[in-house]
Amino acid sequence: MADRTIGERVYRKLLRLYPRDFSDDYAHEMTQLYRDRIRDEGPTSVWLALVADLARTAPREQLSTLAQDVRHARRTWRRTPVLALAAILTLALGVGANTAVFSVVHGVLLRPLPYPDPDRLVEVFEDNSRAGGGPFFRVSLLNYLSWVERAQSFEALAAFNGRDFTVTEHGDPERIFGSAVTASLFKVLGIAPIVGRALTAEDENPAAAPVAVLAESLWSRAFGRDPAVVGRTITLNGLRHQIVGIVPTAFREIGRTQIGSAGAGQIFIPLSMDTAQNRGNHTLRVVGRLRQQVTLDQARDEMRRVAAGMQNEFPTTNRNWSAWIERPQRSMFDPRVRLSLLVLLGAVGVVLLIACANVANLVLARATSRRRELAVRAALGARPARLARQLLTENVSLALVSGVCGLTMAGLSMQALRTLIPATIPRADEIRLDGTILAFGLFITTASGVFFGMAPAIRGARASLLPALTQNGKGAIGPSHHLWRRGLVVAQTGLATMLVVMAALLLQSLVRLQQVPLGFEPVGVLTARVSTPQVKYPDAAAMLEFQRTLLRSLETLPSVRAAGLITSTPFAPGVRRGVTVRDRAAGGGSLEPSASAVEQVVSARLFRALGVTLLAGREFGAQDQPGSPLVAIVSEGLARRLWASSDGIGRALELDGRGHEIVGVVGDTRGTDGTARGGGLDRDPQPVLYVSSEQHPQGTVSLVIRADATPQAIVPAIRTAFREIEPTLPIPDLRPLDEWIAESAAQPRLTTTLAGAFAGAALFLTVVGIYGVISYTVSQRTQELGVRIAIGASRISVVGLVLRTGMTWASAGIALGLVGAWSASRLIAGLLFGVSATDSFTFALTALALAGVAALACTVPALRATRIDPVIALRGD
Amino acid sequence: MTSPPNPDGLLPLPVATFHILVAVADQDRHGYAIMQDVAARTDGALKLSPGTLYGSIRRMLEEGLIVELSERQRPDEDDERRRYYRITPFGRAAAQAEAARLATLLRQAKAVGLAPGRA
Repeated sequence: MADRTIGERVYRKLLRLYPRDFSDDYAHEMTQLYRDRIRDEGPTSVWLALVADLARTAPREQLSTLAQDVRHARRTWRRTPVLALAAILTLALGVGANTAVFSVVHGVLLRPLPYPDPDRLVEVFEDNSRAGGGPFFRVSLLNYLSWVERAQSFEALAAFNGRDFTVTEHGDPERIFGSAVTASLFKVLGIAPIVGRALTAEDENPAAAPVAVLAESLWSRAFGRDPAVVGRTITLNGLRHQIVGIVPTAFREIGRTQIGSAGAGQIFIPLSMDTAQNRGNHTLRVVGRLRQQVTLDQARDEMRRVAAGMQNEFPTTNRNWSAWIERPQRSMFDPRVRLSLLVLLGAVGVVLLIACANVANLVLARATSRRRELAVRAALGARPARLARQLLTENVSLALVSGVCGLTMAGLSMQALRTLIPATIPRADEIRLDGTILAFGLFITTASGVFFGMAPAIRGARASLLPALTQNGKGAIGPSHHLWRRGLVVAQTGLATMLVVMAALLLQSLVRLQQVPLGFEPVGVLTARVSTPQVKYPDAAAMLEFQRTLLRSLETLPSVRAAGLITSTPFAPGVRRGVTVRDRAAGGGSLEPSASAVEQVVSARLFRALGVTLLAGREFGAQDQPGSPLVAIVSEGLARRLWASSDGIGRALELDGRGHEIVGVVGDTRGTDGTARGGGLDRDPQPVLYVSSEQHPQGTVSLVIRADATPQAIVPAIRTAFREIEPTLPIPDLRPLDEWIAESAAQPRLTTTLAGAFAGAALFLTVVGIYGVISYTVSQRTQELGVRIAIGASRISVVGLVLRTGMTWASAGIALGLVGAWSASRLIAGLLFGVSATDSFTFALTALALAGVAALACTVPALRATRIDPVIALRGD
Repeated sequence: MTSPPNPDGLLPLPVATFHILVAVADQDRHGYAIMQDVAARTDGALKLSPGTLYGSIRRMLEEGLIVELSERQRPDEDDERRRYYRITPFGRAAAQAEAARLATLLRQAKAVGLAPGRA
């Protein structure tokens, strides 16, 4: 053996970059070649050429080996098409479902907002926690202006308020949603108009000429993207506005208004700086862009100080009102939506794990039946590493095929997915299949492939030669093999148990949610938003007359029992104004001098139309006219909060500085939270103060109609009545109140349905898995069982034997699953309503169900075991 | 009885493959000798790197164009074991088919004046 120079040793090491097979065959010759060339050409040129050669040909050889493995993989899988198909389908469903759920989570929760430097965006609220209200109140215009003056933490602050617009351009009047915004919103969002100009501070002057900015979607839909639209006028609510610009879709209200909103607004007008307002009139949402160096906590501290200063300066309106800042990514979500999505992502991930366990079992069984083939190849010189690599390639390539199928399924179902997502989930329109989602899909596919392919690959490679070659492949299996399968069954059963517990809890929660007392009667009620056209009915008297005529005409329709107006129908879209009311006779027998409540302006017969119970006193009636003494009706909860008793008749409450006499007390109603849709069914009823529409005229209201017949039957009659009274009004979008209530439960219903589907899938996969493993065990123990039957064991005892084996494993799994569910229960506690996360009844029922299902899975193989012919079994074939 | 493999299925041969076949057509050679022969014949234009050489050799072995000889051919010339390679009849047929293909191309090029000499 010639001496090896250093160069040679280094070269030999570098040759390891080639596939093992290649380097094994040719390393010796290539080293000889190296020696020859060094001798003839000299080191420098040889080494340069060699480095280039290695860089070029080593990857090529590796790829060529990989291609060979893939071709081989395809051939071997074709030999067992049923197994391959089963594995592919199982995995494809798992990958597809995971990708779909992840695309929702990513689009809705994870993707940053589509604005420059989106982490600087915040939403600012008035915080009434001190007085028992929440920290997410709207802001009054005067407070907003004071903040703009005093707060230093922001580059810019902007305010907005939702508006209903009646647009009369071509043909029938149309109703379009939009907002009144401060010009600073352009600066806060960092968005420039795509045509024309942005709004300016001058536009906000109440005396300025009315202007408007249109959203790109409206520009496309109604104006065909004609740039000449800028400069034209458009009639909004009877008033001509000049169109000054077009903005992209990203320009919109962000933050808490997105909870429950069906879509972005399409028309934006300047927010009028009408400073003759009450400082206590909380109507606006405020967003801001933090300065570069300012952190969220610093900004929160500053706003608290600013608000504290304002409390002293404006004690009547600002007492107990602080300020709170939240990121829009948080404030736009009901915290349960975020939790639901994450829980579903976890659940579907568990389903994938169970699917992988099933496929792992399939592949393990396959590897065992191929022991002979592998042993022969090992005998012919294949190294264990090479065999392992080949087996791994087989399994990973199967996984990749499943992954492609799964991703295709997810992609095709994207459209259906978007329609399933309730309108109450913000950013649902941003869900799409993009690079990140595909990368995620690829990642879980490969991880699954490695996960279920690793063990069989290692095992297959270490197949011991002699027993495999001499026996027929059956007989004693190594104990570690059994351990794997047992472990997989236990794991599957445990995971399935956890999912079933979770789904059962969610189901109970949903049932309880839908049975919660509402405080009113929604059946047979239609509701719609109606705006009184400002131009035609410019003053309060005209507006009231229009509303009275409307109600009178509606009540004359046959089968209409009552019609009324309310600021916002519970659970239906509307504006809910938070107010502070104060007991005028403070210090004289009242518990708290003031309380916050939601204000509802109602017509006389509203309570009858809505089905709210009158508990004491009277409803509004003929005696409550525009000039008469101001009256009010309180909800039971408000009365209790103010006076510790549910009676408040005769007391006086101060609202907006004016005293109101309490003439009645009505029952609490749900659905009157200060949010866009009144909050969910799980929210407690809020205190409500009702005032008469005669004394507090309101332009935009909700119409409530109670009918005898099925509500849909009278919609045409209502429409005709509307057209007769006011042809310039767009026909209101009448919907049964039941629909709005159902929609408010849409998100928990979706979560429960999906959780149920995932639990069902997990259960199914586990049953298949247990069945497969027990069948296999029975076939492996044929000899032993044959012997038992031959020496006189009864069928029952054989069944019992098989059942015992299966049930031991399953019980271990169930026990572990229950423990796991117990510890993980607090994760979903936030989603549950009326049921504890550790409800023992649910746990017990689940355990029984799982045990029953596992027993069922074991029964068929067990029965098959009884039919073993001892003679054939003993022959050892 | 399977039909003899058709060399036309391998056409066009990769450049390295053809040159290696030419190198072992008249005598058995080992790796370095093939490299030197190819370099000499092409006046240094084609220098087969070790990776390309042995990658091609490996594929040619699989395709049956050449075979390995296990014993030393020239015990007097070499002081150590070298693996020698010999062309097979199939390899010869493939090289002939490739040469014929190249000749046809050359004839066509000459006919339109793209190559020197008459058609």
